[in-house]
Amino acid sequence: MTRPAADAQVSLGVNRLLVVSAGGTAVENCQNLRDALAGITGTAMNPYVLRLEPGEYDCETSTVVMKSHVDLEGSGEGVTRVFGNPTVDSLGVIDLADEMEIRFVTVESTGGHTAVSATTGESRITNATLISAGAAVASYGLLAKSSATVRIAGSSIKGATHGVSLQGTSAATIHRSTVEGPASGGIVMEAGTGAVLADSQLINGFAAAAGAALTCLYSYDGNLAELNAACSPPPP
Amino acid sequence: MKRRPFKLTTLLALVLGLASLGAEAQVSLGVNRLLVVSAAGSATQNCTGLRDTLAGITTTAADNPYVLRLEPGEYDCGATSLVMKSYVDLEGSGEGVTRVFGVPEGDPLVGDPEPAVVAMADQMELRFLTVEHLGDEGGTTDLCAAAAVSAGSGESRITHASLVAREALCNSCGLFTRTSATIRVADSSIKGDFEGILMQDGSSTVLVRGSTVEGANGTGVVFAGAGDVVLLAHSQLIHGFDTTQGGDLTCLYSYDGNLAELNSGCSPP
Repeated sequence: MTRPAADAQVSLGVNRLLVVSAGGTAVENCQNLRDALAGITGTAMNPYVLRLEPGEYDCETSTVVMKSHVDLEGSGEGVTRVFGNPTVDSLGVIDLADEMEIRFVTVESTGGHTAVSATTGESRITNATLISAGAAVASYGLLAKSSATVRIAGSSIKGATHGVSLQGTSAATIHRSTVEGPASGGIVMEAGTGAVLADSQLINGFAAAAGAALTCLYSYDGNLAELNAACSPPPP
Repeated sequence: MKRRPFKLTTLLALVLGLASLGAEAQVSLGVNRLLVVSAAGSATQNCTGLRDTLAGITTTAADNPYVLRLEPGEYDCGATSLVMKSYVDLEGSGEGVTRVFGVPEGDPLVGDPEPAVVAMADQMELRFLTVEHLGDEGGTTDLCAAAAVSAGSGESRITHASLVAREALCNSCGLFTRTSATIRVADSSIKGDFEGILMQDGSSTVLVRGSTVEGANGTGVVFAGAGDVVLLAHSQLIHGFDTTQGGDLTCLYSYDGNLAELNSGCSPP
């Protein structure tokens, strides 16, 4: 019996649920992911799920640009890791699309810049870990820009300069998650952006421009001090 | 992170086994306890495939449970409720990619048949999908009593799911309970055109965590009689509640549609 090709993918049922193999090297595995994505076009009536096998997926310097109505589902945050080293902060290792979700996966930018980016439409991040580590002028766990709306639940987002960066008129709702950056770097927001944190932990605060709207509900900081509605801890 | 070895034999068996399956096929993984329902046909055919798969499960128990995994796609269940069975979970492929919908009609408040697209059973869970009652948009005008999901007895769970009921003449609710059901809802969205959750007079309990409950053009939670209990924790309640007929509603760490914190009685300050 011969070893399967490195770009093997398995179709369960009728090709709407595609399992991407992690049987090759980490670089080959990410190529499997790109190939699977390139072969499909999702619509509301014809959606897809790409299920990543447990393993590592090295996407190097090129962003995986997702498609609408195509979910990306790992096999667990602890066993499926997609990583890369994007050369700019404006696009992450993964770039989200309208009407799609990533879940049960860790996405990491190893050389700074951005782990996950979103430019337009509505997308979701559920039970995922986003990490951007390493030196860079801008290093975001999540970057939402233009008019993107991102709903986050049950996730952990950490960046070397900011956990979450909101630009343009983007918005984020964050539930039961942890957002972390360095000093005043949990969340950075441009004017015109909005974010709501509910039942979440915001570590090292935020930097919000005038005209940005940030609200915390039942949330707390890195010292487990409850945050007020404006996301500030009570005075000492 | 260590990479697990690629299981070639499993993969090949799966591929070979799938090669001859038709559009209405279902796939059995493992030992027939995890059944993948195809979405290859029309939306109506897909729901028929789901019903057929469910009908084929004749014996279930705590030590003989099943999961029906729905492929990404649409499942049109028409005017007949999908009545689930105990110990059979219904698992979609994601709230945004798996949608089960229909237009069953009937108002149990006056003794009519089941009005819900999916009727829950004891010891089962709905997860990772959207269930939607189309209401009048389904082509039947003056539809009375529309529900996305209902539960009448036993204990069931709804996790990472979206329940939606569109406009109907009378009641239109995301979740409808009657008699003595206990339902645990987590990380979900429940939205009805008239009521988010409608509790019929009985002794049902709904525990909601990390979710949003909304009555889009009506009321978030409505009690049609005394004896029912709803607890919302870490959740959002949009458009309030109605306990004029009785019922017991408690909120913990929850907030309304304007992001105002709710007190334990679920009222804003």
